[in-house]
Amino acid sequence: MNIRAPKDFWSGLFFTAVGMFFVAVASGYRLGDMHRLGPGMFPVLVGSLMALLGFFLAGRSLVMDGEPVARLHRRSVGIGLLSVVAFGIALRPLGLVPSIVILVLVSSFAGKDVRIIETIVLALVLALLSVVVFVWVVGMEVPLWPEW
Amino acid sequence: MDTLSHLAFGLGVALTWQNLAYCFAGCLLGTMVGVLPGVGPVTTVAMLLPFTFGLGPAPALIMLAGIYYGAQYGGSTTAILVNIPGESSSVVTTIDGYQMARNGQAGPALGIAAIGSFIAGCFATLVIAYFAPPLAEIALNFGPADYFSLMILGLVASVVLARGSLIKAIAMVCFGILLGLVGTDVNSGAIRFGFGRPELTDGIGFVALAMAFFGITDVLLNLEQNQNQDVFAARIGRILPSVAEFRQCMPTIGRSTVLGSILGILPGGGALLASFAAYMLEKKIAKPPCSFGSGDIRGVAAPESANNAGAQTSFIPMLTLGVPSNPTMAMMIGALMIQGITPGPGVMNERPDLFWGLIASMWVGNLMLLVLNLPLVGLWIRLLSIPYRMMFPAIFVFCCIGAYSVNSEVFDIYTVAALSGVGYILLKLDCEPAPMVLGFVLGPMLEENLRRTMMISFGDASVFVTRPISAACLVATVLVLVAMVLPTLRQKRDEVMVE
Repeated sequence: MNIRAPKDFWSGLFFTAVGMFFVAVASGYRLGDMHRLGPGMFPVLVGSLMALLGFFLAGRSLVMDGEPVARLHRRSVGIGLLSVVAFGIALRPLGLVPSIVILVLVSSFAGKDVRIIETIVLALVLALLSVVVFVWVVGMEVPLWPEW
Repeated sequence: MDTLSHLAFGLGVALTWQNLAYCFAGCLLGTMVGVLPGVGPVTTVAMLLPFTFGLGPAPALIMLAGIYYGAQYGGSTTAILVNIPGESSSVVTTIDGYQMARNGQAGPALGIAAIGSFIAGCFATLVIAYFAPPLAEIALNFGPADYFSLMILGLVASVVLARGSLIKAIAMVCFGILLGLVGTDVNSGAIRFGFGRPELTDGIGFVALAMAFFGITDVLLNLEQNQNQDVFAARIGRILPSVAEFRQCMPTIGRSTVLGSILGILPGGGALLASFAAYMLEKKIAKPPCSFGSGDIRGVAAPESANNAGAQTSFIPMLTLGVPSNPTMAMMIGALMIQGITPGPGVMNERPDLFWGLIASMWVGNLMLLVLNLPLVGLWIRLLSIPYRMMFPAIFVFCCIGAYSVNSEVFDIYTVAALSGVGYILLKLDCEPAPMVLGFVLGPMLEENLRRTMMISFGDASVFVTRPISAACLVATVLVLVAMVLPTLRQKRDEVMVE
């Protein structure tokens, strides 16, 4: 088997898998009949369509040429997503200000050149700005500092 | 006359100090964020969405609309000066705009963009005022079958405009619909795809989705590109175009405005299609001494007027039918729903203050932008020199806080991270996020209308083709699909997109 259109192949595989997953879960819900559609019917229909399209894409990629998948920048993507998760983990125990500093410091490593002092200043400025805008003006409910 | 009195009522709403302030704040913030290179209007609206949560529906919508136009203005500034289109709708502007800037004509290019947009904005406001009410009137007679078919048409039409493969775009719509179904089913009360997480009973947060797909994913892609930019800011010179340039541009602005207004109303239309079409038209009909492609001022006037007109008239299907024609409108619908308002033909009668206030504020906003943009150009240019390494952590901060602020729920932040990862990989596989977001917003409405249709017709699916409006929408859908499959037309679209 020769994959001739990698982009189509992998996206097709993704669509098939996700579509089938949703169909599998949704078929556990009541399907109902044509007159009274149950909660499972629509997801099963849409999921099947998605899986079919994915299947077609993947199949076609074996006979039709296409572009190769461009390089995934694993490092910057990984760091970027990690910084978001870190923000989520830090937010409740540490409060908004330290969490923003963590988010900015970690995410800055996703870039090409990292300037530590500049980033620290940026983190403090953004933390101040966020407190003013989101907490004082918009009225978001969040602890600012760790609760001892 | 009736329309005028409605408009006057709307002006009364828009001109209260409070709403004026929100409109101004929206325009200012929108321009400020939109001017940043690599931050397009959709990202801007997504990032600034949380600012409007504390407001009432009318001020929130007015502010969001201001943010949207502001971001578009800001985007054209970036397109002209840095050659980086913030969004696909200003891609065309970069062609002649950047050349003008290189020729030392950045000032007039910025000036004509602002003036053209203003004229287009005024005209489009009138178009909305005159066409939206009758359309809403008609839409009140729509049955669920008609709505279902109309939404299908809207989704397919928007898919056609997505770059790349049609199949991938439709699959992305399906993906969006499925994600939109997560949570409690309003009809049966069953929790679908909840996987035991209590946070998922209310579904996946729209804001989290928007932040992931238009904020974080965007940053991740931008980080891969080289961030070296040449800013042609040194020589702005006079901003007001000369009388001769103005005279040269007036017919262009007029034609582009009308064309943009029409294309904006179409499902799947909006600013993007409008700017491409207007540029192509002007290039075609320009008389011989023309320099399109190497710095013709009409090459800036055309797309800028058209995209502003289109951006504004794309509010018509959103306001009257509740059907978004592009991701930005999907976000407006998301914002309205968070405010507890279901967009649709009822809004005009139930909330005239919202409806007419928004329309009037569009005009006010356009005026504000003209006043804001021309004198403040110097300030915007300074923003352009902010390096990306300082900007992207800021985008991360705003996206994370924004997602959290909706429900004060940490889970939403993890949602952002997960969806960003998925979005990044999908983009790498040439699957555009726009159709997905439309599917996400329309998914629950599609299901609801399908359900109601089948309920009324006692399970007979033929109503979709026997009701005239529904049948017409489905025929149009099929035509659009067939047209896309025909190789010649497809090639033409790709050519236009490439150019």
